[in-house]
Amino acid sequence: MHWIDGIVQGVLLGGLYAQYALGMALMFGVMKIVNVTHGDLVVLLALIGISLANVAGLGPWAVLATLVPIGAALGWLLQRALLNRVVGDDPLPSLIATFGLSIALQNAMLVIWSADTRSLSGGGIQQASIALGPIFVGVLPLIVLICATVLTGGLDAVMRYTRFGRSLRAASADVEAAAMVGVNPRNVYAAATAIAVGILGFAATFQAMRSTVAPADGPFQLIYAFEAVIIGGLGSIWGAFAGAMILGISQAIGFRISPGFGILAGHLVFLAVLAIRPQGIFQRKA
Amino acid sequence: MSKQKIWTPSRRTILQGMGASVAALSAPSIVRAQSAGTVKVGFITPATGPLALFGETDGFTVDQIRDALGGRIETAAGTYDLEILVRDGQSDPNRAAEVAADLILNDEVHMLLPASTTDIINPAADQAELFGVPCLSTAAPWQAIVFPRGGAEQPFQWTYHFFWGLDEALNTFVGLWNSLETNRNVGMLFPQNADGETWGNTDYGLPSPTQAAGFQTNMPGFFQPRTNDFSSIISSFKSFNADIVGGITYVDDLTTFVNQCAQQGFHPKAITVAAALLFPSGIEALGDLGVGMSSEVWWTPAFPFQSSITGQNSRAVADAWEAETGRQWTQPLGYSHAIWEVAIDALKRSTNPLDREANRDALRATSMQTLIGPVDFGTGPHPNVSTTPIFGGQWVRGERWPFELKIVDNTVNPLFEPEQAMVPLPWSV
Repeated sequence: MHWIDGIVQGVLLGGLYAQYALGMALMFGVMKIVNVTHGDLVVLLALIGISLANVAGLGPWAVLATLVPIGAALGWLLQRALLNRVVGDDPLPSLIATFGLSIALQNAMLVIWSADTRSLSGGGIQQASIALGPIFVGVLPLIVLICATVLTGGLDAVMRYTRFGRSLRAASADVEAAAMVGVNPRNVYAAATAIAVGILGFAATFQAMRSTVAPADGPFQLIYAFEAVIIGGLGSIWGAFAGAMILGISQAIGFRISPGFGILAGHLVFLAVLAIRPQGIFQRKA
Repeated sequence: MSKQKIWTPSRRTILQGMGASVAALSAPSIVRAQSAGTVKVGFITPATGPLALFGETDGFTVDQIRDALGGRIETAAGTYDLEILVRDGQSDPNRAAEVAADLILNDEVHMLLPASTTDIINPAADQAELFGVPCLSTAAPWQAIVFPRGGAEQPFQWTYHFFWGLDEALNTFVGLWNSLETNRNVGMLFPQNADGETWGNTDYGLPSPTQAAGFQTNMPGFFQPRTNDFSSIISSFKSFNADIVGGITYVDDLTTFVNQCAQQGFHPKAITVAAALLFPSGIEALGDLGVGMSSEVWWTPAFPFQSSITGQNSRAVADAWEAETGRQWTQPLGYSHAIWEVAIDALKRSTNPLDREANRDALRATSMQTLIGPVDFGTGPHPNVSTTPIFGGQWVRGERWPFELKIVDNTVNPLFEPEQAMVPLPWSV
């Protein structure tokens, strides 16, 4: 029962990581951009959400409904103003640009919100749970997992079955050929980043409810997103989801072996995947 | 000053020294007939960086002290002008050492006050010891100031520190738990870092006095800071049937832990941790679950002592802070004030405030009552240390602010009565 509980908690943890990983997988898949500001954007959105909750008295679901469009707008602006200038075959300029932006964002947040650790009140939902025999399943982690699954499925369906999805895939496969048949890559890229950062609105709301956020927290969230994407296979949507699950379950099992070992266990699985199957578990060989 | 020759100044310290001289030259000269000279005190505080919460009361207090003294000090040797030089240590040990050396060698201060936190005090105190300047510090457990700098083998010549010790903090935790009716099973929560390993040490950390007082302890292991899943530790505490959780955590980990305790149906009667519960912002991050959390107390407005400089009591000092900043008082405020009480008292008794050695001798002879309690370097556990009172406290719903800290236990220092009795956490009753 000890281990079944571990796996259940691991799957719930995986849902959290999947929300972080999804946007990163999309951006990498379409533009080959590794967005280093990913974690800082989660923190930025969370702090905006907490301020909104305090000033306008919004509840957690209203905060979520506001943060997703704010995130989408931020993402669109980020791509139009900055990333479209550095995107290209060489992955280095975009890496350096987002790295610099990450530092600037952290310091800007420190100026605006100070170093205080803050959280978003969920009105009790973050403490609620459902008892399944001897196993307690937290209501908030369950909502996070359901959201992550629906978002992954939805994004995958958009990629497969819509005109927009086709243009995304076309721009991803060969940007010049896509441009020749009428796809404007800059618009497609801006839409992809808008979706990726919009999804972070979910991650931000849930992170602020389940724990706390402070301006310097971003990189600690980034690492799990990054590992989940690598484990699943760079750029694959369901791969990122599966990678997040593998990471969550390895951590939860590790925690049960020893509380200090959990996070290391996740890193070890990540390294093992890099060594044995560097293209990721769900990626076909290129 | 012959020692100055062996010191090679860096480009930065020269530039800073030049800046300071330019500032000194351009300042309006105030003619004061009776002044026998200018006493300079260097003050280093973590005003920015991750330790800024500890330093935020320092700047405010310096302004209060300046107002109260009016730039003059009456000493045993006559009246002197008093110049306070404030430097930001930026929460960085290297920076703290640099500004300390600058204050000592370029500004030629007569006393150095590295205000708070080990990252600021230890490097600055090392400089003071090296160059022979009296140095007074506070707001860090004294073992962390004395032992890493080799104070166990040989007392220091120049550096003095007043604060409580780790052992007293641990005994406060035990005192808090003794005041509750429990099954005496304690689950221990420690992070895998320097603080966690000190507090979690089975020889001199929290487990040792806890077991000596007849509690059973359960330590599942050290967790990594910023862990997202505490369910394995919680399930271990549950099967141990722990009524109490004790240890040291930071705000982010405590919030995750407490939320997951609630999810997992684990409702201990007391959660007593150091660090996370020090500042009001930390308790606010916990939301409703913050009510009833307990920890060690350095100082609160309920302390009955008066300031030897301004005559204010603790409540008045806290009110002045709240009126000026619009923010709730924090525990370092009392110590920000007390360090000036001790420094000014020593300078007043000094036979020559312009002589570092005379100031050191006066500092060593300190025996006084401050806002935070008695300070006396003659009675401490170490020749350079005076221990200060520590109490057990519990956060309750406040009237003026969302949460207020009340003193609920005085077993370690029965200087005054607790404000109220400790109560179990609301979710356990």
